Amino acid sequence: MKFVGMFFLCAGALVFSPVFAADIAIVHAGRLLAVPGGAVTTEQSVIVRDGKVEAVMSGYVTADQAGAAADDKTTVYDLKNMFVLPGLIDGHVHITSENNPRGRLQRVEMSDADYALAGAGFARITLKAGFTTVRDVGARSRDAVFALRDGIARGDVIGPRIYASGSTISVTGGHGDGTQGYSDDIAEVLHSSGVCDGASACRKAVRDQVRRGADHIKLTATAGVLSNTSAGLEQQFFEDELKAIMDATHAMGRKATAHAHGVNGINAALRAGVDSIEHGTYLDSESIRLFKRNNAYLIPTILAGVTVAEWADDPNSFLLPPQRAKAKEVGPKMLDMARRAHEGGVSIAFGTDSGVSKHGENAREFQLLVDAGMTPMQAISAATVAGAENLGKSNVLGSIEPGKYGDLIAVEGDPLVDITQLEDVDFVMKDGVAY
Amino acid sequence: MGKLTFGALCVGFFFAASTAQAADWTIIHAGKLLAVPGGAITENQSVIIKNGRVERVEPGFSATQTLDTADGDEVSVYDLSDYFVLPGLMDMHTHLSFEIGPSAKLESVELSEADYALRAAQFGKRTLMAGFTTVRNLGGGREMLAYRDAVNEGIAIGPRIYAVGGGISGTGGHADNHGFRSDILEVMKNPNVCDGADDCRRAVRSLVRDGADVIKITATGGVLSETGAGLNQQMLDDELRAVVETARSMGRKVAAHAHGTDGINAALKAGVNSIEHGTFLNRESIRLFRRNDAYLVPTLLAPAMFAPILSDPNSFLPAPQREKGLIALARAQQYVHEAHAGGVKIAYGTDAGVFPHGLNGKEFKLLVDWGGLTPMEAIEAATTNAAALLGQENAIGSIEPGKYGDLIAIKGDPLTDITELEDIDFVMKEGVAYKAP
Repeated sequence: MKFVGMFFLCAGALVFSPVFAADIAIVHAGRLLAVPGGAVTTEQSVIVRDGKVEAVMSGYVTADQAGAAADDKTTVYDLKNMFVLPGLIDGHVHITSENNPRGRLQRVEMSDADYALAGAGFARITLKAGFTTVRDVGARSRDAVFALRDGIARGDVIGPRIYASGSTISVTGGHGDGTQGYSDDIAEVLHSSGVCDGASACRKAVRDQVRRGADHIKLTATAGVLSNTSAGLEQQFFEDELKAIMDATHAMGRKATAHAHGVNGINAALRAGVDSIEHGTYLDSESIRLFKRNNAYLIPTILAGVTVAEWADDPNSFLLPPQRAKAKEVGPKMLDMARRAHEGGVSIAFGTDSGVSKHGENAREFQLLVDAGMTPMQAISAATVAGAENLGKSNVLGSIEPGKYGDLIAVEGDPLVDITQLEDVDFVMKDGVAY
Repeated sequence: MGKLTFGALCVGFFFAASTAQAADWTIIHAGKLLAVPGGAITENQSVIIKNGRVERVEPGFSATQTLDTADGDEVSVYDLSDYFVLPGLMDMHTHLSFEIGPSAKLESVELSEADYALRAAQFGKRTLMAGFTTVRNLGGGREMLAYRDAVNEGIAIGPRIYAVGGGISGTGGHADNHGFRSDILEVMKNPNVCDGADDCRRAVRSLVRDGADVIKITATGGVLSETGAGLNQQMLDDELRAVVETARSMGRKVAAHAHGTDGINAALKAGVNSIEHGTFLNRESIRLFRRNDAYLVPTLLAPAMFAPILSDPNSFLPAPQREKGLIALARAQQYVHEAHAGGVKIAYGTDAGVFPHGLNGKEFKLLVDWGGLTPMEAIEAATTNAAALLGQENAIGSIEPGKYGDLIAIKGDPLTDITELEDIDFVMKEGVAYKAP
């Protein structure tokens, strides 16, 4: 009653009642996989009110049947010939950049504003590819990824919903440092607030990311392929530093995900309590045990392995010698790693490392996950319900259910029969808006 | 007698030091000799060099016995009786610590001063081997002062270097850094950038304090700066005057990079000693050159080498550089001819570094073909004229008593075919042979 009273007050005083009219989208879905892992239903209507799913109803309902009022703005989407499923989630992207021969130069050329605008371009491509949510796990720019996240949320630019980590937490000279090879005075300027040595500094580095607006924390537990240093692929953070990172992360109400290749780093990070592992190249049976004990996710990023292996084989690619050697080592191992993890019962979330591979080609990972032994349904679950859980956002993301964001996509064919259907998405809706 | 006693003392107590008192002699038997470019070619001559300096030039092939040697002296004889011998060449416009290429820009944020110094050591050696025994280095930074000193001390091999230690420019001008984000540019800050006359005095004095031999300014925009700021005057008249006055007060000459007519003439009016490039010089410029006794250093090799890259849209050059390059290229075949015909003195310069080092000798043919110089005039540009521009005419530029023993030799006759100077068979600097057939 109080609400109604306010309504009349507003309408009377300001003649501004349209504010209270709803935006309603009615999606007529020929086939609907509302909750991946569950059943495919036919001839369904998804009602999205003001960006959130209000109901899923059998049959193709009209605006009236959907409960739309006269002054509501109602749009009906005819996807009767389509297969509708939740918007896809990529758990591992670098949305503000994309690898290219000029990458090292761009690092000293591009301002935050340049990165934000480049990121806006990549974000648009990613959304159009059917990815309505991404987790950015390390932006080389300073504030651009947060600006892009907020700009998309405000509607300034078009893109997926972004959860951002800000700067990667890394040891000095480690994989997430990024200043390798620049002269000292330049490296000083490029210095990242995520670089830390020792437990105290690492607490501060984590807290600094949260202060800057990080939704989660990304750390590089081991060395990595594309850092310009021949520092192997093994553990880089010590146990006390890992513990400090995890304590600070959880104390700030965030999750942390660890980039890790070498098994010592994977297992040390899992023991320290990380919530997920990125890449995971050399995981072993002990790792699998720890994954399961911790309920941690693996984001295999097989596409990144395939991409760097292609570059390593091309003598004219722009890889520097240390990068090439590591790419040759790691790239071909990632598919087998994903297979071992899946067979061992590790929970897998979808992630591509796009930014290493080209933005917009994210869906190539689906076929690779299937190659690694997942069923198409499991692969789709990895990019929806599991992706949401990995983000800690199962209440709003990952399935088409009342109360969740109106994020859905549609394809002509049946992705459960041919998973590559997802490489060409025909319809993309985010927050009830069709793109 | 007293002197002798002292000498004996030295031998007794400082044996090692005494060897320094023994003289190094060099005898060159030259089949043909152009001892003083512009002068006559003589045949079957001997050049006698003692401790790096020319002692005398005499007819015939002198034997060791004719020398006034003392015990312990070393004598080397070089038989160049089949060769054409001339003074060591001089390039008045090099960038020895730099060589352009697709990765040059990235290197500018990767390489330290020490890295650049080592680069210079390699490029300098290559330049010497091409017959250039002296260069005036008009780019790079303080690393070139270190390399110059290392060459002088015999630590590194290279040409004799007159170095600027950095080019002076206004903020955002041709010699400033471009194309990086602003916080990076802040770190790369060029200490030789100056705005306003007072600041430009400071820039000149700082360079001289650090050891600059010559002052270089960028009076106008330039082709290879990554900025669409044209090719016209950038440093303003009061700044140009301040630079020249200050340089003079510190005993230094000024070389002005200039393409646009306004900048060329403004720099000449301010009293600079040479104009580098000089692309759009006009009749007024020619009058000013002559009035000031200033030199033109054309560097035709730069546009010639760049021509194929300029029209290639896929080249590593950003658009503003390609556009400016094409504008400059269009004038390259005329303006030296105009200057030379108008009586402007020309000194040899190449802009080496803008193309690979060691190709410096290719400028000769361009001076002849595009500039209208005779082969002899082109050789003078690279010897006697260059020495005069440096103010070193009593030490270098010709093979005459008292001057440095810098000379080169080739098989053919460069006065008949100037491209003979693109492949040098024998290189000697200060009496030391670095390249011999």
